[in-house]
Amino acid sequence: MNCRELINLLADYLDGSMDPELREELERHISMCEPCMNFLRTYDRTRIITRQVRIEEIPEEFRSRLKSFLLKKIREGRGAVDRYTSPQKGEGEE
Amino acid sequence: MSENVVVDDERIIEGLSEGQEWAVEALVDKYYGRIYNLAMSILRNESDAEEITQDVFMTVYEKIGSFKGDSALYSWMYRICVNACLMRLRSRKRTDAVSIEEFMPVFTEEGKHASQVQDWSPEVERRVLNKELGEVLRKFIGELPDKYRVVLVLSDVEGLSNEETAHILGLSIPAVKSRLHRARLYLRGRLEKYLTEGKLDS
Ligand SMILES: [Zn+2]
Repeated sequence: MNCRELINLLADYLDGSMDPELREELERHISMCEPCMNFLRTYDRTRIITRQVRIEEIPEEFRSRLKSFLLKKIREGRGAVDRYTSPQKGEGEE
Repeated sequence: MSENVVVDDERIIEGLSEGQEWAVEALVDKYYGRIYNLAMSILRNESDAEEITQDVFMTVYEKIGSFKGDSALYSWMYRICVNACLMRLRSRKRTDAVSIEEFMPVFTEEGKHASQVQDWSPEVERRVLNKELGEVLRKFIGELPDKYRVVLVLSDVEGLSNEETAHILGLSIPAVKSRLHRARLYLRGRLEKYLTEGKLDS
């Protein structure tokens, strides 16, 4: 396995879907090749911090705005027919 | 995530198909954060993300009858959301799409690294709580061509498995893997340039 082949296998290596023999070969290469070791470390770190992009503040008033938008649309869709159910008790058993 | 009681998907689905308003509210309480975040990650624009989120919930309400329980509700919602985002992107004229080739690793003929590879991961670690790094990363993700960005967002930002991502996007698993890998290589290369040369532009 050369460096190019190894780099192409990094995703499989990190998600654990690689077969054990290939894994061993990859680890053997990495233990003897500093560039690949550094590449793996930075590739993995990139993958991990990407997850943190998600923590984004969501405007809280957006939730209520979304609810009123949907309920208004739904009620309009029903036309004159009143089928309002109270939010807490509309789910009672038959 | 919220102070509201989280309602089971099954009950929400049942309520929605009966046109119950409490079910719409429960659906919003449970999923608006995830859907908004997803739309935001793909579109990088607050008002677009808000509009798409409204569309997604309206579609879910209207199409709940066609939801087959063979996948999770959120997975179906993600699919609706991704499709809506892609449609929105197609209608936008993008001027900032980059070629990702420039940031792919380069090898010699024998398949060895053509240039030095430094380990700058401790530097990322050091800046992990730094707001700027997050901003920079969002910018880089935003630069990815759409087909790479949606895969990266579902897999690495949302944390879905390759199987789930493939299902949501209607792609094969090998296609997901290869796009994900190239998207990561791009981000890695971009970050490397930023951290070692302080360069923000490609
Ligand atoms: Zn190597």
